[in-house]
Amino acid sequence: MVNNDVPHPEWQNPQRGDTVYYGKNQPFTLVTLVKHNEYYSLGGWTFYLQPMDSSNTRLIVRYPSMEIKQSKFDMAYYYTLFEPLHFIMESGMMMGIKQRAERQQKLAEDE
Amino acid sequence: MNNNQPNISNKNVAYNGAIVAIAAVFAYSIIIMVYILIRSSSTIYSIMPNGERSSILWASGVSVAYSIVIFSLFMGALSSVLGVMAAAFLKKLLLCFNRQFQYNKAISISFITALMLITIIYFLLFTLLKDWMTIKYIETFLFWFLFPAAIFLIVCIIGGSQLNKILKAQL
Repeated sequence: MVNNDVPHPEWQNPQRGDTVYYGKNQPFTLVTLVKHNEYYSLGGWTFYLQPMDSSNTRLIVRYPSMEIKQSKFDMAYYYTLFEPLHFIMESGMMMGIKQRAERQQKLAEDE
Repeated sequence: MNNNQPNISNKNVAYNGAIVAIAAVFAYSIIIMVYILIRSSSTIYSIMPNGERSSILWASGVSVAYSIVIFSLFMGALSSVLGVMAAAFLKKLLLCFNRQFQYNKAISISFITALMLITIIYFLLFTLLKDWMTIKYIETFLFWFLFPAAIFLIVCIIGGSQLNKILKAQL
């Protein structure tokens, strides 16, 4: 899995049904819902942009945990292991998205 | 007591190594938790409107704290193995190369042992995980690699010097 430091122009216009790989030789998912500059959903994993004011936007990420919590054992696994570790991964990912978006915005303003 | 055989048992050394490693992980986790809570809370406080602020602050705080507690339990378990190894190595090396139990020599041996173990661990991590790991982002490099390595180095040096003191006292 290789991180991309800058937004790729060819990935900026996803369409419903597009295939998105989690990394090189990794599993993939399909884009199920998309509205440019508003929301983007991979299966149920959804990224939503909520404008706050002229200079701030809130990035909200949600995923359908009911798919993981099918039994009591799954639920125990979900709350004690999956969710806390996933939270660390996902918050790092969101910080990365924020940094890239803000860096891109700064570059655009400087030009 | 036999003058050449200090009586601190290997089991005792291993136990203390594990405890020190777990304590170091928990101490580091608390520092990280406080840092993240302050950083995220200040961002939320400055951006979120009044009505939503307190609930988001609570949700963020609980999520951060809970995730770090769980993660530190796992890291504590893993680090205890490393602590046992480091303590066992230190005892062997101190008995082999520092027969007079000199303080400065004990510090040097502890430093080299820690550096060697860190190099092996990071080499294994980067070899096994390859593209799954990156250190090119400053926060990742600092919080996941440099600070833990620095703490391990410091703990090893302090632990090594303490072990040296115990071994010397038992002669």
